[in-house]
Amino acid sequence: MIKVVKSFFSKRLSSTASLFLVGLFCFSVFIPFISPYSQDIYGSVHFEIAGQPPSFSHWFGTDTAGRDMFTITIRAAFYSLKIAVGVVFFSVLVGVPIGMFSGVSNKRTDEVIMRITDGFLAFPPMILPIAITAILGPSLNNVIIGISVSWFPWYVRIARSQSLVISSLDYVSISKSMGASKYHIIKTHVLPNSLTPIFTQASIDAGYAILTAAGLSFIGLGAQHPEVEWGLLVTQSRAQFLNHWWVVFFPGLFMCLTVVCFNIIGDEFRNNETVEK
Amino acid sequence: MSNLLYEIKNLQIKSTPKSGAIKILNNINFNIKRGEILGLIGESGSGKSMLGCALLEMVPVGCLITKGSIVHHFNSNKIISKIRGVHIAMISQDPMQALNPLQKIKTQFTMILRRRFTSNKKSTKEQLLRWMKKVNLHTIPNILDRYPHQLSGGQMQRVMIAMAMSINPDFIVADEITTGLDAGTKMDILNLLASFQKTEGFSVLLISHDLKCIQKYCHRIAVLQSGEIVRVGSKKGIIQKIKDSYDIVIKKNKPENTEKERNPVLNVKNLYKSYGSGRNSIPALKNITFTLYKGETLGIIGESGSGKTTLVKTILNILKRDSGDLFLNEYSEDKSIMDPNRNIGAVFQDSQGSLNPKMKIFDILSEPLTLLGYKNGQRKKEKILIQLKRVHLDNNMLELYPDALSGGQRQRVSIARALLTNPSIVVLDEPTSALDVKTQGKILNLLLNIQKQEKLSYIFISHDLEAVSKIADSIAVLYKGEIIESGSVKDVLSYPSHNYTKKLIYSNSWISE
Repeated sequence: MIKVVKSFFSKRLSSTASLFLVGLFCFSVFIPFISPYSQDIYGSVHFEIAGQPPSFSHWFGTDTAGRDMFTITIRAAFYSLKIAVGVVFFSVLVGVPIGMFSGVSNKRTDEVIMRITDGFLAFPPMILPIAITAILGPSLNNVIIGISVSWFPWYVRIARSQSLVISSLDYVSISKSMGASKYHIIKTHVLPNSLTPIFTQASIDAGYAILTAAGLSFIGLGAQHPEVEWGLLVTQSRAQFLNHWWVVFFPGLFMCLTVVCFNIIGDEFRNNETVEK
Repeated sequence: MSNLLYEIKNLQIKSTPKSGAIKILNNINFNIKRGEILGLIGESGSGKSMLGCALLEMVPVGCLITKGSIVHHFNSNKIISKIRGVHIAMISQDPMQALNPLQKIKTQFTMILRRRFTSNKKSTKEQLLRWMKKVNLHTIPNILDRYPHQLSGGQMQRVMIAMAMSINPDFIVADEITTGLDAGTKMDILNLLASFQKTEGFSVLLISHDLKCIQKYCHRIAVLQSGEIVRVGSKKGIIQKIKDSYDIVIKKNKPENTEKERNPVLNVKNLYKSYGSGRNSIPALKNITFTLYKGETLGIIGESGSGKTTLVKTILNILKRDSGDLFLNEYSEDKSIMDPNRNIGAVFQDSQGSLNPKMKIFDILSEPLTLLGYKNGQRKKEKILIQLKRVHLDNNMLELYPDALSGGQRQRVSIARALLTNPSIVVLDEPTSALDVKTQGKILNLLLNIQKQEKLSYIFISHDLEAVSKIADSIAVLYKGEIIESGSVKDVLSYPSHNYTKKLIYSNSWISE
């Protein structure tokens, strides 16, 4: 893993992508303290300057309520990245242990776990998050829960397949012959050898989580005012798009760049895994 | 026309500066003549395969030819990469990797023939059938419609030979083509290649670490050592010199136990194991019964597919048996063991696969102690250092990962790990078959020394009769999951009663002739 991380940062593209994401996150945390328009984040309106195009004083222009688009687009990154990390974190936290346990268990336990997983996977990708957020009520945290419930079975699958492959290797057989428990085998052999494919999937999924959350916000089930999230910003301004292009363009651009960065990181993990093999 | 096919002058191959710029091959000077089999011999890691790749202009990414030249004299002015598959063919070590697992044999073979000869469908099919007959695969039903995984290792290697020959090449690189195959199959494959070479007259670079194969089939020999050709010339002159440096005397200097002194440590009774269930059930082990005595080695021999690995896993209790008993005498004389027991250690064939690549050697060796309940790091380290010394490994290896070690060193780590639980029995599943002859000898000597010191009992499983005869006190012959013959080494090998044993002995001894 250390080797993978080292080689990862030695590549210009992947290190630029990571730097962009870290920089964006830090900026989004501190923007309320450094922006002269920080009140706009919490919903203050200034109709006298509504709908201004990008200028020196408002780099990304202002929306129809006169809010500074630069400040709220950057602040929205905080919530979007929170969704990305939250979804991936919960999906991995729940999916990986279940998948690994399934892989080292006997056929019957494995079969039961896999059929339940298949049940979750049978839903079209957006239906389950929509249903869950509709039941729990629209909010940012519920979006994270909804998407995580829909996505964790993929991690069960990845972890199980890794676990099956690794369990059949000689060093696991030797460990078993010395009386190692399932927990020991997972902790010592299966998990360390599965981290790279899991990280690869997680970094790609982080980008897609932002897109899915934006989709939910678009239909009114995602983040709610005064929380700002890129999907919500696009939704709120979609009616003015033809007259005020900047209100949709900048949140959309940042969303696109963030997803591309996560994908670059995922690809780099995958490349390193192949080289390692 | 020149008698030479290749002239290699002052060749040097280095890894790229990014990978550390290590010299992989240096100062390589030799020629390959038309119609000869040139044997390239050397220990693992000496650069044999790299030289084969260089001749095919297939130096892997991360390596560069930094000096010297490779001049070819094929009947073509094109560069080597353009005449691969036309004048040059390659047979690689692992046919499973070389054949596309998603395509039938027919599809893969046709592609090669179509590229070489612009023939129509009918004549291609005729050619395919003719080649299958030439490599004796025509008797296997629907061979052309099978996928690679539906063939055995030997059958796949025959397909590879047929593919290589079918393009009518002038030169073939055969890179360790018999490694991992049992003696009988090895004999068939090499005989096949040699007979084709005789009739077609092409040149072969036979790369191997097996001195006996090289001795039997090659006209000339080149010896590669740490990336340099140290000797090249006729077979006669070179073979004795290499033999002296290769052969390691195995010292089995222990007194023969008399019947009275023999204490049984493991009784295996009527062991049955099958795969699948109901009608599809295939028996893998049938009525296996034997006794292992303290301080002795039981050699179990058999060809691939005879059930050797299933037997190992069943004895280690990592595979549940259908019926039968395993009585471990030091543990309980009348209670059959059902779960893995720390009194039985194990060393497997694949030294690379036996060690977790993500763990340092120290962590690998700590694992058995952790499982035994050791919590104190200092005590663990003391125990590990003792075992490390016993297997003749350096203390500074503890901080390395397995991929930084050679095959022999990795196998020593496996042996040290097996000994850390203080077992009374060690199951050795082909521990030397993936190693070169010199390393094999060293490992066998090491095992014998440890056995002498610790009064350990070994179950030594192998298809290499020579290795078994050097280390074992008694032998059991496994055939289709059954022990068909057993007794002392001398009795079984000198006076075999079963035809299968006779065949095994013949295919092993043929190569030494």
